[in-house]
Amino acid sequence: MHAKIKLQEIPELLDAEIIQGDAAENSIEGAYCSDLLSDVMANATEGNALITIQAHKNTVAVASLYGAPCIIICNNRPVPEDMIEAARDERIAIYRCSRNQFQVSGTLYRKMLDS
Amino acid sequence: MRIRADLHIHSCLSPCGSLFNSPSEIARSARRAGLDLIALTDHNSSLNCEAFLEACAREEIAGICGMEATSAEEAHCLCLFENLETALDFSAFIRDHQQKVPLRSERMGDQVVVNLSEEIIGTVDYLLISATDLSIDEMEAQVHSRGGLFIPAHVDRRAFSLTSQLGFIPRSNYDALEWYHRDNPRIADYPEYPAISNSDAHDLESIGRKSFAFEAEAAGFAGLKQWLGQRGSGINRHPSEETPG
Repeated sequence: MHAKIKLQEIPELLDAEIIQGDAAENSIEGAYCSDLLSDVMANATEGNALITIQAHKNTVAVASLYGAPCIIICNNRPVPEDMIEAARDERIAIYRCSRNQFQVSGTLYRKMLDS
Repeated sequence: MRIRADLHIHSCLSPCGSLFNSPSEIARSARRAGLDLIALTDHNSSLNCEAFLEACAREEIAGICGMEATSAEEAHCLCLFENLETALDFSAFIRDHQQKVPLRSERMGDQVVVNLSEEIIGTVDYLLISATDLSIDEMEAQVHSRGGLFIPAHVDRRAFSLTSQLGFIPRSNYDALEWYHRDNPRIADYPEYPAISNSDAHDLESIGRKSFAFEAEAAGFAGLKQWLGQRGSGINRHPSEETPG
């Protein structure tokens, strides 16, 4: 699956709000869904969006390690200010939605298949 | 005597720790901060503990060898040992159980082993903050089989804590719980575990910023273990039964 999704399409696709919009990349290539950051470190690949409920600044550090264009926070978890600042520094977008990880993964997966 | 302790301090071996945090400087800063007892707890390694003990001896402050280990659930746990040999044995055990993500220093920071003179005598080439494959219970059993102390770290933080990873604090064989917020009202819900707070210092200025105090005959591992044992055996649970004095 090599299809890409533009970052600007994501808020509408997921009914998500833009918490931090400045990003170094303009699209994602696949996504990785996990709430264990060591698992993300070991298995996510560059260009993958990170789908998680771990809303804290360590998530940004891990996302920047492997090269995530954006982080998608599920279940409307509150996003602390230091996480937003870290993401701004690393130029990684943060989106937040009320959907859970399964729903977000499914929506992005279907969109990838269709495009 | 009254002992003031800070049992959660990182050195330059932790990728997130400042390179200025050599064991020598840590001991010096701790003495200046008025601490009597400190522990070196780098992420998943005790390799800087030898220089740490030498530095503590030089500064005439009591030092405990330990580490902040990462369980499979990604809960951080303080593991403290009676002597260097035991800490290094546990460190080798943890190394064999840790996921090996290659360290990219330019992104992740450095992980250096140093001697008392702050000369670099080694590096670790895999990322030390990554997780092990040991569950919290397995880790607790391994620490206790070596006579060590097992203390879940910053249990009320929103990352890498029992609360953030499991959603609750399961009852288990802990020697204490380390609380990030000393005034957290939830502490009262866990009367069977002594509540302590430490700095979790990653830079010299933070050492001793948070600490706790206890009564013991001397500053050291034995006195700490004895005090925790007394607290855990019910004094905390039934404050009214506490004997005077």
